[in-house]
Amino acid sequence: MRYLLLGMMTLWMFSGCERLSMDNEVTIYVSEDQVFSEPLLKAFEKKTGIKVNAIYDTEESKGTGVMNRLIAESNNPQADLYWANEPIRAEVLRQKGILAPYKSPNAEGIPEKFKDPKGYWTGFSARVRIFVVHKDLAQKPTGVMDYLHPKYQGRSIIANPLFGTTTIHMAALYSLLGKEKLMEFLKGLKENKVAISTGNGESADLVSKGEYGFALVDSDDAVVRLRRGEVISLVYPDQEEGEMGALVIPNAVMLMKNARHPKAAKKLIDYLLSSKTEAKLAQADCAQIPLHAGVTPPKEIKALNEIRIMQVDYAKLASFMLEIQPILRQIF
Amino acid sequence: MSEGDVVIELKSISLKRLEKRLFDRFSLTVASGERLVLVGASGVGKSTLLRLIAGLMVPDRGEIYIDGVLVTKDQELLIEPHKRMLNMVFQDLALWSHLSVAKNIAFALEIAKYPKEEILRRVKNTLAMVGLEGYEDRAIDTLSGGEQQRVALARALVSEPKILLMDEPLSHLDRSHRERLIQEIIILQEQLGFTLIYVTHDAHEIEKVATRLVTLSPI
Amino acid sequence: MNWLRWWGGFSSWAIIGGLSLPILMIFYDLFHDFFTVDHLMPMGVWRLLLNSLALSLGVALLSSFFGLLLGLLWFKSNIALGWLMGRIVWVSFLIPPYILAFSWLLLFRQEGGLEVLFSGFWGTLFILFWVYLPISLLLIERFLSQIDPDLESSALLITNWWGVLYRVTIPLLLPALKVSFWLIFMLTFGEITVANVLRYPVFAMESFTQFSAFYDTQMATLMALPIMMVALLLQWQIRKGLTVRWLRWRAVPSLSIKFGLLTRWLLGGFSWMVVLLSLFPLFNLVSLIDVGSFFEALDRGTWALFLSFRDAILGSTLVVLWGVILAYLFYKELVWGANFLKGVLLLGFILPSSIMGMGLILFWNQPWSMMIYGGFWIIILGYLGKYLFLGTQIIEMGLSQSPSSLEEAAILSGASWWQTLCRILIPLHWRTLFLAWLVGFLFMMRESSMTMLVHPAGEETLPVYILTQMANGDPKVTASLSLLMVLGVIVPFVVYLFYERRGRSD
Repeated sequence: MRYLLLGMMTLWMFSGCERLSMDNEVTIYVSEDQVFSEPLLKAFEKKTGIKVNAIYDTEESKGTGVMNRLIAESNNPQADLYWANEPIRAEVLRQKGILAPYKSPNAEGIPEKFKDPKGYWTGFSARVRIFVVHKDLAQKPTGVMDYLHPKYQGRSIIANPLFGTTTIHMAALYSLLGKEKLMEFLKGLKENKVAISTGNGESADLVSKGEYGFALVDSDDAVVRLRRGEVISLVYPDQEEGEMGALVIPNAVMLMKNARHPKAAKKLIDYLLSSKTEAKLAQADCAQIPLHAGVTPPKEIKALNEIRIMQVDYAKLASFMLEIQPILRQIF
Repeated sequence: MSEGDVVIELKSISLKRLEKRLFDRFSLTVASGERLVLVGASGVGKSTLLRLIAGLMVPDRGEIYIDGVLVTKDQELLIEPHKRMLNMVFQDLALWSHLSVAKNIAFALEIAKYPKEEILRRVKNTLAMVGLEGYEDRAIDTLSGGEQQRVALARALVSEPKILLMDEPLSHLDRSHRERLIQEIIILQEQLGFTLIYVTHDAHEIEKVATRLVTLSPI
Repeated sequence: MNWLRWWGGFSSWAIIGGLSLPILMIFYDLFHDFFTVDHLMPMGVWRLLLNSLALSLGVALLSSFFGLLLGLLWFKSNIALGWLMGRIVWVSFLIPPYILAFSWLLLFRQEGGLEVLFSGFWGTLFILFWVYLPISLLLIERFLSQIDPDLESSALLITNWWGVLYRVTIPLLLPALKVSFWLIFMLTFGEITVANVLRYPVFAMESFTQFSAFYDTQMATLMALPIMMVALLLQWQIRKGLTVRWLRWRAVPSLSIKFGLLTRWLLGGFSWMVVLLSLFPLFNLVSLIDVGSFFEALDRGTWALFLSFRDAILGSTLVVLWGVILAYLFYKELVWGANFLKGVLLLGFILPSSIMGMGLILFWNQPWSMMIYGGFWIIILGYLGKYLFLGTQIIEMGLSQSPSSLEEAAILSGASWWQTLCRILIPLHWRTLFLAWLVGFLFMMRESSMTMLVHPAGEETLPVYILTQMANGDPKVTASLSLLMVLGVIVPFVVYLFYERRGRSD
């Protein structure tokens, strides 16, 4: 018994050391998929000698476990910075007063629409919302409203609009079309028997297996399947003149208020916002679209300047997302 | 204490359990050296009475004296069970199956921190007393019913109690074993001089064991 | 004993109170600005409540019924290797539910139209049945081993085995069925993962939605209240199942039903079909992997597996250590307000893991408590808060079976309550303690929702690591990691089997 107690005391004494402040380290919470983000963080560690303590989100929590952790820890923050896989969360955190402004020198090449004007968050390496289409589908969809077309009844699928980037897409439609048209669209999805999947990855898998004709997913989900040799094609929605364009969703990095290691955090932010990082993320399986001009995009995806982009204010999308939740829950 | 002196005295014991009154101002004296047999219908409180004397239970009201010393008053235990110079053989024997025969018997002595040699000596003597020489390292589960009964008796006797309480100790045994053990209990009682309070339903045991009989009736 | 009553009461309240502080924090967070919270439950939520009730009822009934049937077949008849079959079906419990659900969904998708049948209520019921069947089997097996064979023998003198089962054995098993039913009911009621994958709307989903879509912990807690109220109402039902005095307190060889050769073959075949069906998700996992991906998983997941082991072993050991003391104090009725305390423990068990995680953060993420929050002890505290209930109940159930005379003999020998507990009761009940340890270990090994909210960087357990890898990770590697987890828990299982078989042959 006494050895057990002694052992427990020893463990106790050394257990808290991991999060006690040590020089030369930084803690980052990451919502970008671990398989893509971890190699970059390890490269940063190797390059700078700064130890990176990373906490990743999981598929099960739909990318929100880390968000809620940040909010709950706000009175005594553990994270120094946060790498979100979309800017809406950044806005939510900014509105909750959890962020500190930082304008990285590496953010200069990034278009203004992908940054917070006061520097609370900066976008980088984006995805575009895109259709994956099965090879056997005779007529490919051209726009989001094709989900409602009778010829595609029961032949299409979309990820659950209550979570993730699909919710952002719905909020974007809300901002462009208004409440009535959004409700029509959502009801139309049900009436046209559009299947609901648990996530973009599942949607892409089902299309590539031929169970459905097309699905609206993130470009990284599409590229991953393409590189696995699955026979699908990609269609950028709403690209014609006068149409609303494709929704671009950048990653976002932000500095936490009262970060314990602000210097190291800023260095990591600079690193993530660099053209080199964007190049790596473009060539990796996540196939992210660089926001810096001149950085080669993934070969499967068009460069940003070749895509008609949906004109949205990401800051406003955050509040739109909250406004449309009752509508979404009512219909789904 | 000489034979005939009062060794146990219960004064006005009242006890209610599960809405049933078991004792109502019940009094009893037991003389030193007696073999008192308690009889009565099932559920009348015979085992409860033994537990009250042992200090394993307390009455709602009343006093219990052992050797002239007040050990229990109303619901308060004034003297702990192991300090009352008594021991008990339970109906189900209550042998600890994870301990060997010797360890079962030696338990009380180990708790009292007797020296090792003393413990060995007393365990050996007690086993000899009950006819189980050489059984020290045997596992309880390997013993017959009669052998287990003797181990239970040895465990009760090793602490040299002045009072021994036995709650239907032979109920699991067949006639021939019972007969033999009755004789051995009586011989041990006469040799060691302890006061015996014995609960049984068996008429033969009553006849053989009792120097005095007390019948408990339901209230 | 008065000082023991005072000490016992104080320490019980201290232990349970301490563990429940994060839960209190959550409720404080909810109620301190109660009037600013839109706490009116939307009408649709009542439908979700009914869905959850229907699902919980279905899973609990099905698992308990088949648990009884299979338990009698595997542990009380001459079917070969029945005891082994009863262990193999635990695989479904060990695989992370998210992966389990997808495994089955993939199979039904391949079968075309079956997916329509499989989605929704029936599919969720089907999967959760496999997940919770082992719990029912475990309880049935435990109670079967304690039935006095003399009771059945005497009945066999006047009737056949059907009569004995109907009039003696099954009535004696009713407490096990009751405990099994309510336990599985509660576990299913708080279920989200499988229901989410199979798109069956359940009430716990509302709490999760508030949490994940709205970042609203207050509403999430509010939505979790009905779950907790159901659990508290059930607590006294479970308590009733614990006082079973006419079972033998120690395991005894059970009377075996002897089937004829043909019947044995048929029932044996049926049994193996059931076992193979339960193993399907594992086969699916194995079919996805190759040697390369398995070694990659080994390379990447070994540290996470070690952490899982460390946390689960430490957590379940503490559950048993504290559970023994609490169970003894409860069993001896030495604690004032014991039922209330048990209700608090149950609350920790039934509270959605995500809410528990938030409570832990809110309470322990303070400058003065970084020694705890900063290390893996925060995970252990979470495990204790969630699973101390299970351990305490199992141990109390075991203690209540043994005759009081065993303790009385120790008291008469001069042993203190601590000596009685350590030298008599604990050694005598070591199998029950190991069972409590094993159940706690299995639950902790597969826990992910709470762990992912509180684990420090670099302390991801294997279930959390698997879930982070699932997001666009190589499916082969994810499958290999899941297989690694299943293999990892087989070790203590084999140890348990070894001691169990040795105990039977003693």
